[in-house]
Amino acid sequence: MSQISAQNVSFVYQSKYQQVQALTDVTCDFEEGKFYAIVGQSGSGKTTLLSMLAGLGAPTQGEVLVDGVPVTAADSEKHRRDNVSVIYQSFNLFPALNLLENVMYPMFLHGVPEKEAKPRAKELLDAVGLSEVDVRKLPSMLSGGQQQRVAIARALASEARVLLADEPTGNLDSENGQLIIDLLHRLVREKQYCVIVVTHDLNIAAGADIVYRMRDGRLTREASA
Amino acid sequence: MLYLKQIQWELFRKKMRSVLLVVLFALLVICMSFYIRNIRSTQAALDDLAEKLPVTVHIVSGDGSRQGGLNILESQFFALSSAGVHDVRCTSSAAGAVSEDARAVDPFAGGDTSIAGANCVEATGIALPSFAYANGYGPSLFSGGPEPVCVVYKGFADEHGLSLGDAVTFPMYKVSRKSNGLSFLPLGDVELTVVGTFDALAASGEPTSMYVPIAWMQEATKSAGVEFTYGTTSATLDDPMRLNAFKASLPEMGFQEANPEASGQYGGSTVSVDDEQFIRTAEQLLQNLSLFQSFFVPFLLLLAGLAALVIFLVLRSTSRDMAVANSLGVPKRALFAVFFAAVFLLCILSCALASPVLVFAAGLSAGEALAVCGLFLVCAVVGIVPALLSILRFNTLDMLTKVD
Repeated sequence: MSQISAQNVSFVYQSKYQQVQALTDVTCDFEEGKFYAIVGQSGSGKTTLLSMLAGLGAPTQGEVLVDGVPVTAADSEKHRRDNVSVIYQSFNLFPALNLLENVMYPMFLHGVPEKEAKPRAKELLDAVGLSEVDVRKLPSMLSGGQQQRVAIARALASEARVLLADEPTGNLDSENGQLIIDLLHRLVREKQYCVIVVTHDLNIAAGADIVYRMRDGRLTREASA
Repeated sequence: MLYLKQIQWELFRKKMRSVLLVVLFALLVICMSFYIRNIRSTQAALDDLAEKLPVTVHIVSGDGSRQGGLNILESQFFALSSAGVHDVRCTSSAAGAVSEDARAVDPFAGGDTSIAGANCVEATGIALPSFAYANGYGPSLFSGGPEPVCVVYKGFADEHGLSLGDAVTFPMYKVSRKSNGLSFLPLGDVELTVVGTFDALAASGEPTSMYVPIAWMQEATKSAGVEFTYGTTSATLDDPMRLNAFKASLPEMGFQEANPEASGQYGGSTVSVDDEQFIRTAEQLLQNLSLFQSFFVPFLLLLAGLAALVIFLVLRSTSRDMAVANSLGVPKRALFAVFFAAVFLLCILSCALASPVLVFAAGLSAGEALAVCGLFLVCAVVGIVPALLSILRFNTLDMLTKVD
């Protein structure tokens, strides 16, 4: 069964001087335990599709469904809390919170008491390979690769089953980038996460189970592994 | 729990920002307190103006040129003294012949003794320390009953060999001033006991040989069958802020406008009001007060605007954190509540820190300081709301897909 899907989604940006058709009649399904890559040129609408799936924007036409239930604008925040987690190219950690607090944040949002959240956050940091790092450090004290791992640990902390990643390796060197991609693959393989990665990197796309290509706002399924 | 934690993080994890906001808010509170103090002090100065700059009124001659040596009728005196005034001062003039030589002059032409009845020491125009009294007497003798006593000029006493406690008997005349000169109406022989001396002349420079209680002079005049008149009458207005009403009531009291053609008349038909300085000062204060009051609401709006600007500029850099929280599923209204609470707590802290300045430097009472703080908090709320709404107008995805 589809975990998250887009049904005939179109989206029109209303800029100051013109209307821009960013997405046109996009239909796609994303299932658990699979790694998806969405590729395409800059401005093709990849990130716009990601924002629709994340509930960060509402389609002009069509709908996004989670387990067959439409996501409305009114429950988009609940959708982000419960169904999807977004990993960004620029990490987007809270700079004033230490690593542990950053990871605990989604748990607090779900009302998990600090006593339970703390060991769970430590486990998640261990799981993403940060067991040796002092959890009291601020994000700015870490390398880019380490920060992205913290961001992934935070994404896992929400217990959402869909991870949306927008150029997750864009700010990393190739070695760290590969480590992050390996980590995402492991989550798919071992934990049955649905990982959707928006990327320019053809190597990442090559490792995906399913690749979608965006061109001028239209989505086409390109290849299967 | 998260929201309380986030408020705590916003306050304590970004200490420099919190300190900056507290200092700026405290400065706004202090600005507000000084503005309010200016309104209050101007209002207080206006309230105290009657005391600081009393408005005195004088009964004057018909042409307005003379305040003394008049023939003010008792009806005119009572009309003025019952017209919302206090501290009424009045004198009346008489003359006498104490020495044998003066008594020998016939007809009487002024004698050797000028006598003034006064209802208080201040009415004499002589400084208080110039008077010395016999035991049991003091300045109150003037305002007392019709006791036959007098306070004599030291030079006069020496000239006539008078000492404290002596009785002096002489013929006394009511002095009446007319256009063709002075006339003297005999009041008969009077006997006065010397109960005091003075050694200075009146500020007007007119030599007076002795002062007596005006009540006694009034009684002596009336018992001789002569109409009693006052030479001078002045008073202080109870409520100078009702100056115009007082002036408007003067014709009803029988007083007329000063008429330059009425020179040579000595009746007390006109009242002059020494109100120039009072009016000038009161107008200035009212103008200031009106200015402060009319700019009060704009000033509050300016403060709210400044608060909004400060909050916007300081918190603008936090919009990325807000976007991250929103992308994790924190509703924008919850972010609004969190940041509103954090900033409002800083406002309260600013008020608490500024309070000593309000009380000790701006001179406000505790209640007034509390009111200023309350008013500031209202302004702050008016400022916080648009500032936060403006900051929260970000597009989460746009904000988070920016690459550093």
